[in-house]
Amino acid sequence: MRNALLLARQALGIWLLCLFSAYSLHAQNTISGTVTDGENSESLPGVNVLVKGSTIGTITDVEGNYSLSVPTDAETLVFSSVGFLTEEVEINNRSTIDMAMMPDIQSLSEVVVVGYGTQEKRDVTAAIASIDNEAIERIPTPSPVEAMQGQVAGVDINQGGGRPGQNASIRIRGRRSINASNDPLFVVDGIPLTGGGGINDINPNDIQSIEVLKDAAATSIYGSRGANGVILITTKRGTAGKTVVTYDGFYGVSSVLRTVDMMNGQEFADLRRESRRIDPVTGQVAWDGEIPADNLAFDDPVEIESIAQGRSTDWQDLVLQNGFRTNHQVGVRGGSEKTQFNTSLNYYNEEGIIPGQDFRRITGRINLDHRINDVFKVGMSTLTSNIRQNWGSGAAWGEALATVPLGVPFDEEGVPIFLPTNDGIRTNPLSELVDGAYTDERNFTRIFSSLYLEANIAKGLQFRVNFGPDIRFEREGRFRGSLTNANRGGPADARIINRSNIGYTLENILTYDKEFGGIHRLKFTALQSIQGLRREEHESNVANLPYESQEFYNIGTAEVKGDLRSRLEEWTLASYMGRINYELNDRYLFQVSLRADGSSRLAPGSKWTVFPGASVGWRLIDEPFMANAGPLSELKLRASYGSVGNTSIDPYQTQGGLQRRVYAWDESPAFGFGLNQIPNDQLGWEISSTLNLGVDFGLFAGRLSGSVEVYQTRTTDLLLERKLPFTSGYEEVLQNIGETRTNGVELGINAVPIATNGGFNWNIDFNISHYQEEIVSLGLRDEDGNELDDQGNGWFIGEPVKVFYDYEKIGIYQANEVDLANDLENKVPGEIKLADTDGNGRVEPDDRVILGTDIPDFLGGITNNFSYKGFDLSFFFFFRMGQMVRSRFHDSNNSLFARYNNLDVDYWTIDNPTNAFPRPNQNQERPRNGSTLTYFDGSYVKLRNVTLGYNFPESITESIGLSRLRVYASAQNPWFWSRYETFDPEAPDRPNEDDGDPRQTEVGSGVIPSSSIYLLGVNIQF
Amino acid sequence: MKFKISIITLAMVAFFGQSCEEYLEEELVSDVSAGSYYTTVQGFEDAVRATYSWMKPFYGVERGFTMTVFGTDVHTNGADGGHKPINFYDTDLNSEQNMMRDTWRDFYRGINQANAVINRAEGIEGLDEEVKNQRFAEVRFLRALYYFNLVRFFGDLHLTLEETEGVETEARRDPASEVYAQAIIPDLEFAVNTLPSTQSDQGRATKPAAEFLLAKALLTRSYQPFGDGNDLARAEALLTSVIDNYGFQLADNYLELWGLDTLAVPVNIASAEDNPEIIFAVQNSKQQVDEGLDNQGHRGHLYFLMEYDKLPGMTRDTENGRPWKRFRPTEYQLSLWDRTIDRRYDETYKHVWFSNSEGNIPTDEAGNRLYELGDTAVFIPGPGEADRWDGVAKQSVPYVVITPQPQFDGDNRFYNEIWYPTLTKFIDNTRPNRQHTQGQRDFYLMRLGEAYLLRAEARIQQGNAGGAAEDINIIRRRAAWDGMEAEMEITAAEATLDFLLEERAREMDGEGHRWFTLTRTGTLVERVRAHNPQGAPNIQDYHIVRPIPQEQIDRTFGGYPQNPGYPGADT
Repeated sequence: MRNALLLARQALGIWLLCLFSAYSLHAQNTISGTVTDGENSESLPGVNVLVKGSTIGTITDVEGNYSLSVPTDAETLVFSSVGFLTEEVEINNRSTIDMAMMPDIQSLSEVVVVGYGTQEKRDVTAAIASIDNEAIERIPTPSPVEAMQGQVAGVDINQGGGRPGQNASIRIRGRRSINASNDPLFVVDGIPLTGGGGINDINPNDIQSIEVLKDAAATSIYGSRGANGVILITTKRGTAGKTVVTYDGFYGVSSVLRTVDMMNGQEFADLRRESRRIDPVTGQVAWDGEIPADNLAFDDPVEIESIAQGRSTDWQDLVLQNGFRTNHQVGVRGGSEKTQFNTSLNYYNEEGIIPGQDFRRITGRINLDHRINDVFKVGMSTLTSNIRQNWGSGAAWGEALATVPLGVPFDEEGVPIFLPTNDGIRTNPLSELVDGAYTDERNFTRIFSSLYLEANIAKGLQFRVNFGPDIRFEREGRFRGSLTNANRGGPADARIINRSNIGYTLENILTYDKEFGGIHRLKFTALQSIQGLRREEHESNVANLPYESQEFYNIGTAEVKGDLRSRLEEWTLASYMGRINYELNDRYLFQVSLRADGSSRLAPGSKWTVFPGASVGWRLIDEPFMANAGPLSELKLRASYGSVGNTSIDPYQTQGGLQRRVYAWDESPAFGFGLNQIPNDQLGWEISSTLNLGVDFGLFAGRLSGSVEVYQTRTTDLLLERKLPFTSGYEEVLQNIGETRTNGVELGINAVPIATNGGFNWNIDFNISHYQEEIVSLGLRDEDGNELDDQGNGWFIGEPVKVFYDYEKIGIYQANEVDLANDLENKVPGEIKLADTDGNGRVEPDDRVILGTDIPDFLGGITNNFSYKGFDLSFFFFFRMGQMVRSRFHDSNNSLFARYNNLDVDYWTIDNPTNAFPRPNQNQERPRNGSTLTYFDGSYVKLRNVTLGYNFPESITESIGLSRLRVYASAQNPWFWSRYETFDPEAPDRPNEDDGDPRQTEVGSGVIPSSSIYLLGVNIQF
Repeated sequence: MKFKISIITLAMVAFFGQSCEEYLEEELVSDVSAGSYYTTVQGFEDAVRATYSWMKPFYGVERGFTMTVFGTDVHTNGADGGHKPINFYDTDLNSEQNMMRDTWRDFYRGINQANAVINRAEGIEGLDEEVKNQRFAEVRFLRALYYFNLVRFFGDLHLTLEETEGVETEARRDPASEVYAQAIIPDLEFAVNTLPSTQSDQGRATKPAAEFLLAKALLTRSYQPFGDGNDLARAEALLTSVIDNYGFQLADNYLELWGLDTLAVPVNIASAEDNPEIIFAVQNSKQQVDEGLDNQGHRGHLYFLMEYDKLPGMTRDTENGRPWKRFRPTEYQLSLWDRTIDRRYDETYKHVWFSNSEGNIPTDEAGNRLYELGDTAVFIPGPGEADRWDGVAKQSVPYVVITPQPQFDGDNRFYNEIWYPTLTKFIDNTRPNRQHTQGQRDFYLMRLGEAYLLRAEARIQQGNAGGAAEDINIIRRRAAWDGMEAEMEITAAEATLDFLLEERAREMDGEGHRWFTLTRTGTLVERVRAHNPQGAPNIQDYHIVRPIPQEQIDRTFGGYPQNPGYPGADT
């Protein structure tokens, strides 16, 4: 560490020196000319014209004309424009230089960012997908992850409902690990994010491109951190030339996408009556009994009054509001040949569709690059970000669903009645929304920086030091007043949690690039790096606050000082990596790499592992025999193999930590420390190896291009949290056992069906992927050596990691099935009928079956972009089909207990012999085997975005001093289709609200409904 | 060139200058591990305290009450809660019932903790041999308690006296007789021989506590086919020692034992816990339960209360408690007390709720309140008194009167799952607010009153009805209204097992022993059928043990047998 700091200081010192270097001026000549589109000879406005090696430049006017004063010693002009190939022209003392620029639709010639460097796309041999800033900016969201949703083959992103600032979950090529994290590694400007996630700290508007490294040959250079794929985020940097100022802003209104069909007052009254059916002789609950009079079925005069008046309260409607999203970004970029900069300031604010939930982020970015001299170059990219998120009270929505519609929301003065009925549990959701009643404010402040010093030591030999501090402070302050569901009239309480995450990465990279013999090109990369994170956490809980107006800002005054916790967690990682790229004849491509990682989290002796990777590529299109390949413009075959590790387990797991146990001798504390985890001093890496085959193709001069990937990933030494029989005295142990296998196929296509001279263009991006996952081994064998399932954990050989293992509901026992119901399950008519799968005449635990899995059959997205003259129109669908979801939402809202409001379902009564849902029963908090009612086909198709934009012609923009003016209208999530009719199936559950890694498989019980947004925006540049 | 040299040097330093081994060392700062901590005296003592802590997830919280109060002859279900199947004995009382799972899991964790204390005590520097032996006796006392509970709930089960040190995925089903013979009895014998009569730390196991528990274990075993001929005699002798040798005394009156005043309002909970009647109690500290450090505490104040807070003139407050409506006395239980001579119903059941909410006091037609704050709002006359409250009498008073009547009677102010006589033995008005669930009361696991009743049971089983009557009369005299002591006494002829079971119902009402008492004496099924209308239709002979948790079955390599009768059992 001391070395790291020393190096950082050195790097910083050099960097500061560089800030003060000066510019120089020279004598002038004038050059003018016209720039045209080489394809159709139309004039090209807005083309950058720059004297090479200087900051002197201009842009062409609306007729494509330019005029530029250049120094007498200037030699070359550079013409550049987005969508065209950059051209360099020798001046040769000419005063008129015209230029015909060629469109750059050959996307395969792009440069892509790979780990520890860049590569021309034509040379890439691994499975890497790219998204550019246009595709990202099209989706107005605060989250870079959400912006990627549906746009990359093999990347599966799920949003967690409609809470502003909610993290989405992301899985690249599915899931490999059962217990270790499945989150990919994010690398921003070369530095891995260390500080506790927080990808939402990054402003999507600052992103130039996102690269997704999918196969192990690409990710193996990230070794132990690459197991779940790597996402490289590159932020926008300045370019030499005229200083460009941009403003981008939008404002939109959001509203709920789909409300839930809960019962109204009349429906609920019927439910309650049915649930109260009793045998008039015994007084016991009976399916064929009598419905008692309303004064017995309803406890509360308010309910009876509501029934008499036909009064019903739609709580959802009272709670939901229209929210908004607004974003303002100002950017300034430019620079000279020596120094380039890009700065931006961004303000994003979102108010949710439930009052009290909002997300406000301010980010500032400074990216700087400076060349000191022929040898040294330094630079930085620094992000500072501050987020204030109001999480809101979960009870606002929860109570809106659960409070019975016969209750009354307001008293005569319009104040919310805290208990709308006399049920002490169900409080008024509107009470949560009263100003000052409930606060859960979370602040995140982050400084994430990447500093580098680059030195060209000799021709082709380059050395680079990267140092990246990553600092994130988190503060959660929660206050719950007396009149909230949490306290139900008891005194107010408060909680404050502070976390600090201080991470750093230090890398030394040596690269050597050499061409020889005209046909050989060799590139060598060596890396040494260290990374570390120190995480501190402190939590205070208090109760009985004397006055509510303090919220959580004077907790010392509380009568009851509650639990205090603090915690320190540290980990370190040391790495060495070497990589060799070799190209023969520009068409045979080879790459081998080797990375060695040591992790502090693993047991001594198992700390170090080596991760190899290798790939080959054959640019078939460049072979002489392909010279007449007809419409083919690109053809490349790729193959790769590599392995990566997963270390994403909590630190200290190898040591078997003790758990504090509370006891007392009389009134004196008698804390103990009890056994909690079995120490596992064998804990090592979980290793994933992937074989990937790929084809990149282009047809019709690049009008149709794409790639196909086929892969197989085997993960061995799975970090498995094996559930143990309780008789062992433990619940589980983390072990390296077992093996999973994932097979997948991905297709990504870009097509340009129409590109006319008249200016009408149509562009399609389409991607689709499919994968299968199976458990190969769990480390359990019978006497004959056959692999065994692990029922206790719900793991089955040959099945995906997550399956839904339960009884199968085949209907409802009908009135004429009294004996059958009794014999099979000791049930009565009106209850859920389960399948006796083994037919032994009794429903028993062995009758449980695998009902389905959360893995989709296929998923993907399709984007259509149209442009005509100044207009552009795009719409984007994405889809995820064939997965099963377990709806926790139904657990909570379909209890048929008739105490709380219920989903408006078709339930059984003696007069309604349905097979859909069981009979309401006041004696059961939920129906027996109610979990069988919660499995659904979770397929959906969503229209994620429709945007219509207009670029004002330069004749207008110039007259008001702008170089670009675009206005647009956009609709987000205006429509979706799904088989899960209750709600939005794309609403993963979270085990707890702070957890960043949601269970993708389950629709949450308290999930905030998703929303549609309609917005107007503007892009200005001058 | 100088630049280049310095760069190369820098690169070399960066590449080779770091000591990797040190860099990757992991140091556990905020937690401690067994490997390093249990080797110290402090760690040893903390491991012992951790063994005690495993009583708390069961005793005093919903799980322990539900497992022992529900599904008996004296209590049935109130309106609320998800664990009614334990009262109903229906098919939801099965291997997936989470209270079975948690009970099974936590007692095994306690057992493993006790095993670890014994396993790891060798070679701890500075650990006094006498202290070590005494702590061994304490954890063996606890291990015996945990096994005793497990074997009473589940019958035959996995027996281990060794700490689990590696990954263990197998489990056996050892006969219950072996659990007594190898664990419960020898552990308690060791504890009786080793523990001191008193401990300076209140709440540590003592010799009389070990004698009491051993006596109960022997008494329980005596009913079993594998019982030993001496079990009853030994049990009686041990209880005699508990009663005679340590200066325990019955509380002067029944109220004092619970720290209540004559209206069943708590007045001194803290001093009640120091009562000389208490032999062993699971400890709760007021500070810990209030601050949330102890997330369990004594929650008995929640479960027996009826929903007074929905009635006119009332709102929920800390004094009256937070009504969870779990357990309601059966008609049979309410019929047991002769209130003219026996004070126990009157002193631990609440009769009167005084209005604490002005806003919902009923008014007459002119809008005048029918009574004022502090006046009677709700009244339960209770057993024997209901007859004088017919419909006319009820109409003549401004407050609500709740009486036992059939359900279909037009007015709903009758006993039902929501409104019923409310046991206030555990009520706790010292909780910091009305919502706070963790109460400060200690959970009385062993008290002298029960020692007399257990000795009476041992004497009845040995044919000594006279001796049994003497013991029972000691309890009954204490329970008598002043001057009614003679009326409360019974004769030797009356001292039958049935009478004893009724006396236990009167004396130990709600204290968390009933299910064990009925299964010990083999009377569960007949008594539930006779007195618990909700459980009666479903209870079967196999219900005298609980289902083995499904997760134990699923997680055990090669499976684990289910108890007979439950779904999944070998037939």
